[in-house]
Amino acid sequence: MSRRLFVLLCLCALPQVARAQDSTTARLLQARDLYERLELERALPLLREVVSPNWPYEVTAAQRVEANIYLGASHLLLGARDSAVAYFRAALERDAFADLDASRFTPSQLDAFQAARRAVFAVGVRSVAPTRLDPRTGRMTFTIVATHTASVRCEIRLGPPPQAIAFPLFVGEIEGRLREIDWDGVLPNGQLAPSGRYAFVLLGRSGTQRRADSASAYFDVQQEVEALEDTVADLQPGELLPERYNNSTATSDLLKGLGIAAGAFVLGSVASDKDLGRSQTMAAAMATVGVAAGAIGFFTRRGGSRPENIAANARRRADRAAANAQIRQRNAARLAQTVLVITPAAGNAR
Amino acid sequence: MAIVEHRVNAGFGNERFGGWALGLDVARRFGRRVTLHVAGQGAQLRPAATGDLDRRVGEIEAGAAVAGGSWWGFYGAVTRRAVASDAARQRWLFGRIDVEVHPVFTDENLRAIGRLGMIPATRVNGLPTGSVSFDGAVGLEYERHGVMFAVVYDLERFGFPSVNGIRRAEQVSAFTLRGGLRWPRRQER
Repeated sequence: MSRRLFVLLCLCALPQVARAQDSTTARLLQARDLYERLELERALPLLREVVSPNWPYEVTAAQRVEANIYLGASHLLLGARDSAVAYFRAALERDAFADLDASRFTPSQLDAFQAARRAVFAVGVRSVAPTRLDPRTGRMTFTIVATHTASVRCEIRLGPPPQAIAFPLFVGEIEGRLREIDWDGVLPNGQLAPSGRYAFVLLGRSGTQRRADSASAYFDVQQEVEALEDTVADLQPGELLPERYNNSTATSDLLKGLGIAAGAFVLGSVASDKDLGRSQTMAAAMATVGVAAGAIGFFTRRGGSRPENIAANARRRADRAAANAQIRQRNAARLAQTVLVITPAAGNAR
Repeated sequence: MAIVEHRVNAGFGNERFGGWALGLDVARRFGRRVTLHVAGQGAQLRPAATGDLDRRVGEIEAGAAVAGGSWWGFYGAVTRRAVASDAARQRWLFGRIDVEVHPVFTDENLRAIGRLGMIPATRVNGLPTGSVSFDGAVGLEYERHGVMFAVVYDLERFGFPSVNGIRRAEQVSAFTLRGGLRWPRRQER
């Protein structure tokens, strides 16, 4: 029951949020129309309402900046330059990218806006645009701005402090206008940027005042690479042939030789016809051959190396190494084709 | 090539003949288990005692070996043998059924040979059908790069029913040195 009530409340709240946005947008639109018609006394109360803490509806940062700009422009046309500069400063403090369109505002308004720029110090970084970055050919661009001449340091940071990566992308002065800074997705050590959440941090110090400001933009980097092949596992002991004869092998050979000798004696004595007389010469010859084969096997095999197995194992190791070399080569080729998928992110860089 | 010894007791005491034999054996494998072979050999045997006549022995044998496992199998053969002297001539016909073992030595190229079996019936012209007889062999075989050498000692022991109180017995033993070629070669590890 409570879940249904919650859903119902959410559904009821949605139009309220939309209506709040619509109200602010409608009020700004109305104020701008009045401003365009130079009905400034009617426009000013509407704009003041929007920036007032008592305004009951939601106001986005961009709407607040726009309201402050039109407040400044209106005050300047009414001859209140100081108030105009104050409103322009408020706009710039909220958004260092704020600017006046020279085709829509008068030179005196532009001049007052420049005065506000000189009076306030703020830096800004534009949000990162989603992109697919091929590090071999492409670049991603960070757009920064300062309200007036400033020394800036732009860094890219990744990860929490123990494994942190932080390196400067640009250090120098900017002249109070937009500046674009490129990055190819490669770290200073030449490696491709690993996947993770990054922060582009802009630290600025005013060239005319003893003030500093900072701004940052967060973005996620995801390496997009074709699946890599696993290398062939190390050869396990069971996959290799024994490289030395063990004692049981030698004993087995000896027993086989003795078996031949015993068989020969059985044939020559027990199995032969006693009435026809024993025939031991051939049996003895065969037994001698059998014992010799067994003894030679025993003494040469016991603890001795097995060259054919050593060679076979070497071939297997070489085959494995060759297979792994080919796999590594193919993987390197795939890694070289890696693309970085860049998406803007909110929140703190980890 | 073999050294052959033939012992006979036909009621006139033991007679012993010995000499060299030369033979040829051709075998062909069918599948993984069956091997057929045809062999022939001839020998000139001299008597151990003076006064006896030389014997000439010639035989042809057709046989089959069926592998039961990697180191054992069955062997069967039919042998037609002729034994002749200047005075008489005998024709022998007999079959044998054996169990063979051939365990491999460690280096894989050397094998022991063991064979044990029986000769169920022996027909010799002029003699009653022989009783169940015995057949066996032991030896060593070495093969490398398709070339084979073998040393085999084998024994055939024949018995015949008594006729007029006389029981005939014969025994043939041979120490054979065998050389051969295998084609195609056995897969060596």
